[in-house]
Amino acid sequence: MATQTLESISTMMERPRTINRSLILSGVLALWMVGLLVRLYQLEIFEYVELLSRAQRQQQRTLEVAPERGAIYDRQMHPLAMSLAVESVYAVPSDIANKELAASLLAPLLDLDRNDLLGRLNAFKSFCWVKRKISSQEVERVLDLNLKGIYFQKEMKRFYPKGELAAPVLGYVGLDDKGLGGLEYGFKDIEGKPGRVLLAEDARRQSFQSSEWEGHAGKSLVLTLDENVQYIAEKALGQTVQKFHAAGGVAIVENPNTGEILAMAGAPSFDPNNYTDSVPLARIDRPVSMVYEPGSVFKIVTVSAALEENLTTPNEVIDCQEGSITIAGHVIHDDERFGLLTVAEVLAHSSDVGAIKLGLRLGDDRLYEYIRRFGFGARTNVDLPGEERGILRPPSAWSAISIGAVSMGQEVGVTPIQLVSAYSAIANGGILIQPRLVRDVYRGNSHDTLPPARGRRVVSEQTAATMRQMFAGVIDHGTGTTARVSGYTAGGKTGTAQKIDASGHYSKSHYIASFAGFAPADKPAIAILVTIDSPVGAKYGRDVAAPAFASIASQTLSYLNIPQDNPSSVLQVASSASARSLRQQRRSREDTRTKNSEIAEAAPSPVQTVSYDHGVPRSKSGTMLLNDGPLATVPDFSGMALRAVVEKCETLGFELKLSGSGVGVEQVPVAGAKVPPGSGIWVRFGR
Amino acid sequence: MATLATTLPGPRRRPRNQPVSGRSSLPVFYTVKRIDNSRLRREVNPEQRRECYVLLGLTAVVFAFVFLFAWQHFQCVSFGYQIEQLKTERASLEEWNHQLRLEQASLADPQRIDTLARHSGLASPTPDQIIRVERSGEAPSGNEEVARSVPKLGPPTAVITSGH
Repeated sequence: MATQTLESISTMMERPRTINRSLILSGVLALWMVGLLVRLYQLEIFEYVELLSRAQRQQQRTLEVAPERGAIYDRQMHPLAMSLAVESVYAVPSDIANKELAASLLAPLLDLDRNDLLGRLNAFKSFCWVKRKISSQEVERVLDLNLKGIYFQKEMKRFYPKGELAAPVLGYVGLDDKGLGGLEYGFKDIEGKPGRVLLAEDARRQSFQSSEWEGHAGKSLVLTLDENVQYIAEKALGQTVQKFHAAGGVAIVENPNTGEILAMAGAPSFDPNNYTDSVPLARIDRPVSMVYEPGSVFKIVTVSAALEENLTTPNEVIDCQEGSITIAGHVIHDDERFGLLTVAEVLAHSSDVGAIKLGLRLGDDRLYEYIRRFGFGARTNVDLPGEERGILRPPSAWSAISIGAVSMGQEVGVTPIQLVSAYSAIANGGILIQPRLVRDVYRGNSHDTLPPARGRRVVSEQTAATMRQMFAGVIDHGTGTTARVSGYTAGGKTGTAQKIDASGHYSKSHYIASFAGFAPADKPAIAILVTIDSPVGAKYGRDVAAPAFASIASQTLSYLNIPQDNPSSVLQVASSASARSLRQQRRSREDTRTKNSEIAEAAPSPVQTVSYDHGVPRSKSGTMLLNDGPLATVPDFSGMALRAVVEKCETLGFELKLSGSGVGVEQVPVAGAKVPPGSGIWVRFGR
Repeated sequence: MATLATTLPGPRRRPRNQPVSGRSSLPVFYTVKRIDNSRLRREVNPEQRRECYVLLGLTAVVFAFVFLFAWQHFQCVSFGYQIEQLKTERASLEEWNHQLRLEQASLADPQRIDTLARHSGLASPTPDQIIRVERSGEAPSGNEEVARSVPKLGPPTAVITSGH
């Protein structure tokens, strides 16, 4: 107890000293705090701006983000062009200790010239590209080297997964992702806008915050092209060009009712993935930029105009003067010596004399007016850059012979797209519709409003229908028999035009062979133009272009699931010998006609289909067999049970193929069809 | 209250109130007075106590705010890392998706399929081999002749539309 008391007394005695120490400590602390506050004030107020910018430089990084080009799709949304981010290699030469070694190692891996690479490494200090947009295999090889001073950067690269398919239409892009041809060049909205990304990074350069602004991806295009129709057209065109060793060619398939281009092929073509490997000539967009004298395919204008102006009728007989006519002192010959031909036959046999006579009836001004009406001499404004107007002089600039030349498709320059549009106008009932290649333009869920298809009437519906019938006659018994489309009716016109040679005269050896037409003849679903430039070994449109037309039309119509309207045409092709004999009979009849007389009743209709037996099946060997026996009617199996269907088929002698279970819901052939006994019947059963 | 007087042993050190040695040697007495305050009660000052509680509350709130601020800041940074990682992952997946779509498009090239089909012995169908299947309820397409030229009939199974 006493001790405690003493300690407390002792504490009391020492208090003033403790207080002094506390004061000192507090004072020190206060000074320290004041020092801190002053320093804080200095950092936060006086040096704030400078320190902030320094911190931002250390912690933040701004990256340029290349915009992603919009994709290009066909009408079925199959991608035709799309962009992917790929690596590009760059060097910071100042970081490279041994530039010669680096160049020696990199050059063989990246397929570069060593000296060129070394020169660039020596020429720059802070940055130089080594190779841009390299493959993933090359990236791995470079990474394996683990070279200091060699880095990667992402860049967008354009890919065309279908290779050469529709290359002239799509175009191509350069190394800097700028469009250099075709739609890639023509549609600027496809490029997008470059943006920037602000990255906040820690000491380990690991990003913990980012914000993007400004940029956006390009708009995507949906084309009217169908990749399968495009392939059909390109393949047929390619085979024809190859077969005739031609300098080039064009094939266009258009929906005449909407103006939508289903296929647009040009030959020679190129691979837009490696466009630098191709010659510049191959990159030309021939369908819109090739200007040539069309030849007889241009008679569509002359004959249509004459019909529209009521200057003739399909059955009017024209004296073709044994294939010769003189205009302004120039004698123009037909390929064959025709006598009296109806107007329909003038078109069917492509008589230049007949066409000139119709042209003379029209006169310069009216013929010119109709040429303009059909869209020649002006751009169609299809969605491709570099479209040509063609060549069309006004009547005031025509010579005395021009009316004759223009009537048969010379002294005018047209583009393939103009021609196919003109034939589409006849196919759709007389309305010239602006051809279109782009169906939709969109970014995300935002779709651009595309202007509606524009069209104008060029001839009456009646004239167009008459022209369709006359064009069908061309294929049926005229110069276009090689354009017959298996299973379908078709109409069209051959054309063969001499090219202008280097001396400015018509060439004796270089021609442009064309065939333009549509199918089916009554309700056309497609219009097609095939133009072959400078074929060798054959020059006429019927020999060169017409078979390609038939191939494209046949496959395209089947692909588009267009019902066949002329199944017996397979036999017609097989029976070309009999068709020839019929033509000879017709010619002999023509000889008996009197000059310039209307023989509408006597002359066979130009579109009258040669009648063949429709009930001819093919044997397994492909030989046509004539079947003179009676035909059986296919019963209606709908709603019938399986057992009943089997019994019925056995009774009638049909071979039954079935699928499913339940009652009959579907059958081929349809009920009521007349088929030879023993034919196969397919019935689908369902519940 | 009790008092006690006692004589203590000589101090080791000179107390303050003791004269320096040699000046005086008078005995010093210390008196201890024991005080019992156990029955005393401190008067409660409600005002002061309320102030105390308010101060305590405010301190707690301030601390909570500071804590929340620090917590959300660090969470924000942590989420930032996660977001950036997910963004990178998303970009990588999108790129992969693009690559797969490109590969798919390349594999679906009509020319490639045509070549493969022909190597497999397939051929383009002739027009008379193509049959439009009509539902029984539909009106006939006027295409009945198709059936006549098809001796052996079956459902169209493999039709190459891109050929020749």
